[in-house]
Amino acid sequence: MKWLLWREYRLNRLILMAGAVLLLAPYVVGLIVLCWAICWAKEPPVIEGLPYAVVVFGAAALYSILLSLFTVALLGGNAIAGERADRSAEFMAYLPVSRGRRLASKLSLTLLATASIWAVNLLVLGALVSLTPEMRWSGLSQHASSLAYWALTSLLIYCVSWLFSSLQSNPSVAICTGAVSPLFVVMGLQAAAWIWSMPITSRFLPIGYPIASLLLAVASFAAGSVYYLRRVEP
Amino acid sequence: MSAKQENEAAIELVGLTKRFGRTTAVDDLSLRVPAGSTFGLLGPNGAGKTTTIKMLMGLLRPTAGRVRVLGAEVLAEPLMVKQRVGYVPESHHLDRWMRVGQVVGFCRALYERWNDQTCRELLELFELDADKQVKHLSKGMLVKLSLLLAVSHEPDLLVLDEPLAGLDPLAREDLLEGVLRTICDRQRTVLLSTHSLDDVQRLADTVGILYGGRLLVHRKIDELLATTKRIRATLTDGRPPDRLPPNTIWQRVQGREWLVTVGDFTPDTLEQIRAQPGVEHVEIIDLGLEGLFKDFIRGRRAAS
Repeated sequence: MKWLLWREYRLNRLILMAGAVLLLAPYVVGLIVLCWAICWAKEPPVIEGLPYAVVVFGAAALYSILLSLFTVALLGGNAIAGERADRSAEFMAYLPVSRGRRLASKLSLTLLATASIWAVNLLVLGALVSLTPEMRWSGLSQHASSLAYWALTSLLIYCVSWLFSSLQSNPSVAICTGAVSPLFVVMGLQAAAWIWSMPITSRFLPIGYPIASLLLAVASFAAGSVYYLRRVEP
Repeated sequence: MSAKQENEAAIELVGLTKRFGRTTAVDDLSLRVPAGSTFGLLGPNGAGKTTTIKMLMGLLRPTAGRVRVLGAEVLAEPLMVKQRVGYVPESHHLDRWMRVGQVVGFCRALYERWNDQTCRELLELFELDADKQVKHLSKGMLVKLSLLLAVSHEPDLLVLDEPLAGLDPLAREDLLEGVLRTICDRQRTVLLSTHSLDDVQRLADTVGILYGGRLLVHRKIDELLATTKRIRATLTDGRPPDRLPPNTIWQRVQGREWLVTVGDFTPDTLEQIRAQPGVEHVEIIDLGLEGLFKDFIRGRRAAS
């Protein structure tokens, strides 16, 4: 398993580097903005009663999570189609390693990468919340719900990319399909509301989106995995 | 090859068929390769050799038929089969970014058995640099690395799909030495698919000729060479006899010269030809594997 994980890491090294850049970029931008504010503003601004640094780094953490959606799409789309595209899947196919173990190594890598990105950002958010008592109750519930939506969107994107990665050998197609899948869920929900003449209340999308996303993610992941495990050809 | 080995089949194909849309690549192929033998699989391009080998290796699902390798159903027990089979594919798709040493380490970790000494010896024989990246290896070096990976886990069956294609004479000689070493060591079963008929004649004890996805012939090479003869006769009026000899594989008439290749040749066959009206000056020509192969394919092409 160690060797398989190592191979997965090497195959996805560029994606992981891109993921690290996307993770850190908002913080770098935040730092630049903060330096600018400290150097040029006479008095550091206070927004909604919160220190400027808290607002900047809080926003950076949220943007970093948002950008991780791209990393997740890249990892999902490249997982299976990538090795088919460079034909190294043919080399793996005649080695005595089960599809189950290969699938586990691919998932482990994504899980490790995504967990690391989320852990860094949640640690930053946690530190900001614990350092500023004003933020504790007012902003926390609002941020927690948007984080939950993003986590779900991340899951949806990964699973749809995974499905298309399993079905064919072009990683770009799989990545793009995964990346646009949340839009399709929203459009699908709106179309459903229109077809069945349901009122699009303010609660329709907030409730419908998580349910539809979760169902689609689970179905896509299951279908992609079953197809990958049952397929004989590399 | 011992009698016990001869009874055990290393490869058993029964009614194997593979269709790609409307094209039938392999058509109802049945074949039995005894354990411990070296089998040469011959055929022109597009005959279905690689497709057959891919089904044998569990890399393609057959449309119909059964594949048993070393006593196990390939699709039911793929891991067990892959642990015991070494495979050198026609195209080499090793991870290009890996170094030779890393590829060896990677494969070593996946096999239950691994002979470090064989691996070291072959690295030395093939002059493979462990620090060199796969993408920087020449075609010959890639084939050598593939062979090293295929034999270092001491497989019971070695499958070589066109391993000698595009190699220079020196690389070819090195590779053949590696293959010979494998054959001699532990009396492994070897399936060699190649266009190099001299090498098949040198290495294999049994040969099969595939054409249009069908097996035209499957016999021991010595037997096949001893019983397949080409006969050159002179015809008085340039017209071949109405009755062809039994087991005619191929024939050609050019002017007054009649060439006919027959299988299961006996002195009676010669007498039958001599007895035909309009036939004179009959001469027997011994065939090599190359001539024999060409006549089988020409004969089948003419028939179809």
